[in-house]
Amino acid sequence: MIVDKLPRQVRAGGRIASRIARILALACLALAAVQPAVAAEEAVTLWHSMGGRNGEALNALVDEFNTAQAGKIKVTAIFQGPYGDALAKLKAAIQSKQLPDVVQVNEIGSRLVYDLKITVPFGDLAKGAGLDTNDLLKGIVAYYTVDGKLLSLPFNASAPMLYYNKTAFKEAGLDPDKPPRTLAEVRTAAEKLVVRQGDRTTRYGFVATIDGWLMEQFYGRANLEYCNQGNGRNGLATAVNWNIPETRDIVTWWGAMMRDGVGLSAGRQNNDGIAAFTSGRAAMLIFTSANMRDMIRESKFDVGVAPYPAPKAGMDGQVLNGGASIWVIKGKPAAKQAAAAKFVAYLGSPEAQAQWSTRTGYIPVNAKAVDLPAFQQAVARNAEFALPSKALAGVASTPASRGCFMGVMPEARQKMNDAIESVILGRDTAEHALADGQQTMAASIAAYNRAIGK
Amino acid sequence: MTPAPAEGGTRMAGEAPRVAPAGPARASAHARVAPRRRGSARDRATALLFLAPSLLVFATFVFYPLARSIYLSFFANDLLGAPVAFVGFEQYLRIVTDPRFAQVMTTTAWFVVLTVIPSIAIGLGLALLVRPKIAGIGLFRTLLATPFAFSAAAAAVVFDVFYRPGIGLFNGLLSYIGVPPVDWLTSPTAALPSLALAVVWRHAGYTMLVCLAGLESIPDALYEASRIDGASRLAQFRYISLPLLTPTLFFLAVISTIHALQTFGEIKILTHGGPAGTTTTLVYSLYETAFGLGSSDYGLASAQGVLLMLIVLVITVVQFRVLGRRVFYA
Amino acid sequence: MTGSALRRAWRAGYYALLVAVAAVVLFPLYYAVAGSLMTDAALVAFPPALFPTELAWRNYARVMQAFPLARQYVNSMVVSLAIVAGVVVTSVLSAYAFVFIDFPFRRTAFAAFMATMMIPVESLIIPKYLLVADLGWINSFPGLIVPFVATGFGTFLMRQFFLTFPGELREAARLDGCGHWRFAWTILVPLSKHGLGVLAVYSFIAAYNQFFWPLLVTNTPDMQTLQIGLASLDTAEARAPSLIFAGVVVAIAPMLLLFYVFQRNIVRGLTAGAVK
Repeated sequence: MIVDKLPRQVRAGGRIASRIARILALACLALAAVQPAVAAEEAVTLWHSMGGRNGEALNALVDEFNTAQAGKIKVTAIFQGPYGDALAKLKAAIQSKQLPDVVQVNEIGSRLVYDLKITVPFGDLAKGAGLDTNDLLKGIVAYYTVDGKLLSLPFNASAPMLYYNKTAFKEAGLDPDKPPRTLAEVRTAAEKLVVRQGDRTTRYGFVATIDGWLMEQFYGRANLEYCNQGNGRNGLATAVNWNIPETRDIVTWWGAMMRDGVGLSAGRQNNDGIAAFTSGRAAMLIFTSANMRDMIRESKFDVGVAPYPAPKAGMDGQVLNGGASIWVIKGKPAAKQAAAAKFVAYLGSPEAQAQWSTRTGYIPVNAKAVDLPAFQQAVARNAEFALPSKALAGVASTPASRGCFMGVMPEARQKMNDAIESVILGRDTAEHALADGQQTMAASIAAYNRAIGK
Repeated sequence: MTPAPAEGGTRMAGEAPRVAPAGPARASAHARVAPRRRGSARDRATALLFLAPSLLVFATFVFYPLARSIYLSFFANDLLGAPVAFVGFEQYLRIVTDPRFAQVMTTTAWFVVLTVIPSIAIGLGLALLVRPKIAGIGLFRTLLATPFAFSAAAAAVVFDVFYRPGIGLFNGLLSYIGVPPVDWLTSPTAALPSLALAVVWRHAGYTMLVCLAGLESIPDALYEASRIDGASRLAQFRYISLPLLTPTLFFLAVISTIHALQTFGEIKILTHGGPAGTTTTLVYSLYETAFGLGSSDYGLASAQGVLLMLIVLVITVVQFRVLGRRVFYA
Repeated sequence: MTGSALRRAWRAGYYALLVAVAAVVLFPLYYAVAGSLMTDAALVAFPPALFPTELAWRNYARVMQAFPLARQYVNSMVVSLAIVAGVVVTSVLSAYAFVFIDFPFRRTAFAAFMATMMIPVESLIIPKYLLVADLGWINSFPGLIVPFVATGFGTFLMRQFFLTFPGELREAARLDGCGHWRFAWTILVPLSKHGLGVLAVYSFIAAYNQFFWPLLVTNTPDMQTLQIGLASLDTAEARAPSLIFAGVVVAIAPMLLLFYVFQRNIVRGLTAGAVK
């Protein structure tokens, strides 16, 4: 039964209550005066999820832009917590009509933001703002493109990598120039890298955080679609493609690594995985390139970076781009929107991307950035910096490597985490956990599709 | 989120023990306004004027949201949380039938047990420890109550760093004594107790203060008399301190339970409800449903809010019933 | 061994126990302070250092520069004090009406006031958020303050307090031609300093510690309260524990100071009602 009149009545009730509350607000007039004054230049607010060093790197870009645009545009960057928290904030802000002008959303939140209809496609603004989107890497642009239109600027794109401790490799008699290429090889190497003292493990062969993103990457490497309808690119996805032999094998492998004491499961906090690796407690790590620079600097040993392992020998699919993109919010005054677009265009410029890339580990999404001296020098110092870009060279060449475009992807990633976790803990078999997760997701997807009226 | 002055509006539980002794006073309050008529027009206007500020706030921020909460709980909503389809009791049915909610309720119950019992036991123990009026005891009282000066968020943040698997202080300390590391927040069995520990550390500072105040209100003469009778310390505790402290402990149990049911900040900071949902309590589940993961399932979240309210209501009523008897007995 | 020697030994043992217990209880505080002066390398080492070898004061400079903790501290104070002021005024007024004025539906009104205390704020958080959003109060002081300026508890506490005054007091004042308003503010309130203090401490701690609501209604660091700022620091600087510790120390130092100075009053405020 659809009651279309009721919400209006509730709204009316809300208005009366609002009026009452406004009277109360009089008491707060003095406080309200504390609110920041209106600036002369166009103020642009950016909400983002870049913490720590990467946050500093982003602030540096913002400062540079503000200096160049002094008196005309002033961007304020606001850290809203990790991607999930920031997305929650964004949803809440729609209610309060206090949306920022520009917002960073991670790749799996793209479909949701698209369905919320709160943004202007960046493709419509880029040219006017001075950015030729043809300069952006095609494969990565494809992820954020719907019906031929680029939705947002892929600002920070990362690739998954295999990090390994070259010093430990030598100690264990492994060839530091021949890192493992498949999961089976990872297991063999990890077994040799483990160091035990009595019943204590002083060095694990491998570490990973429980992160569904890593699983999505294995799908890419195995050339499998994560959800149906051509990864949600040909139409609304209605199911995830989890309960298949390939995925079961990966999850089983993952669980066995941890349960057998060969690997260390670092929980769900990415930083804990990094810490275990850089402190030398674990000799290999599968992780995003996003923090590569920081990790190499922090480690006291020689860090090797290799392509993300394939689930099985012979699988030669592509990894996908991780990271996030930047969206321009619609419904703002034209001058403000233009200023916002200008800022986003700047973030996609060769100069900004070269600087951003070398200070973080994200790949330069602007093809022209790699020719700049800043980037060339960084690669000359650390050859590893060229690797993530290489890994993503062929992204989006197949439906599998375009990544699943689905509104409930944030939930799917979490549910995948639950499945992996329960297998690591030996509470469940891979088959049962994945079947279970797939079924729960079917209900969530149906609810979502109903909520967007389809 | 302090215990007694909890974030919520449920803190009157703490005042209940006062209600009873105030009983006679209440009678006199009515007697005081004589003769017994419903006041002059002027009085009535004054009363309305005096009550108006509170009434306005309650009407706007309690009663109206309450009605809207119940209303929302009967609807399905769109992506933004706006109610679009009346679904009757379907949201409640989802709560009752979904095994995930069974886990949420179990977790909530365990969280209550793991925070309430230890904080009261430790608080009482600490209070007994600093009860003797020996030189310098004031300093120790202050020191032992210090954790309470931490805000819930500050305490949670500190413990968050201690618990880290990679850089964890706690695992470091364990390694000094040769104990293998514990997956404090990452193992489903350890996460809830670890979370409770962070809560208890801070909360025990408060329970200690309350217990100490309770102990101090017991007349020394009682102990003197028992000492003359040759009672041991244990006997004194068993037959004097504990019975006379019962109302205080009961008060603490109620207030701590309600506080535990409302705990949010520590969970948000330490575990985000994980791993595998093992620290997702009712309040955290409400938050996740309404605001987490980009979902805005206000209908389901409102139903959970109504459920939370009913639970707190039941506890409050039980508390009134029990205290009604207890306090006079004491 | 003589009796007095035995007693001395027992006493020394008791102090040793007290010191040991205090050391355990205070260890997290100690390590937060110690950690705030260590380098991240020392903290990340396994097992981590227990004492700072060099004093890295720069951690404080860094955290204060990167995070507006001072501003957030001011926010917390403004919000908490405004709520305390509001609660005190609304509570005195309504409690006065319930005790000293007879009016129709007094019992019903009082029951309604009491009922507000049985509803956990978390239950109403969604419609409250929507309402405050409709009002345009998101990310503003009114949004943080106004919903909390009246509490059933405050009215209840002040009512209990007013009930202890003899009825003759009002009667005498009335005969002197002293109206309700004047009686309330010039006679009753000065006599109720103790009760008001209790209510103020109680309300302050509750307001200062709020987490869920400020997390929801603030969007920018310069409007966030200290509690939200700390949580944000914890996620933003997850890889720099020394900065987190420095931030926590900055955040709690004033509260610790207040706690130590006003401990007596705070204890009285907190235990109000717990003990008869």
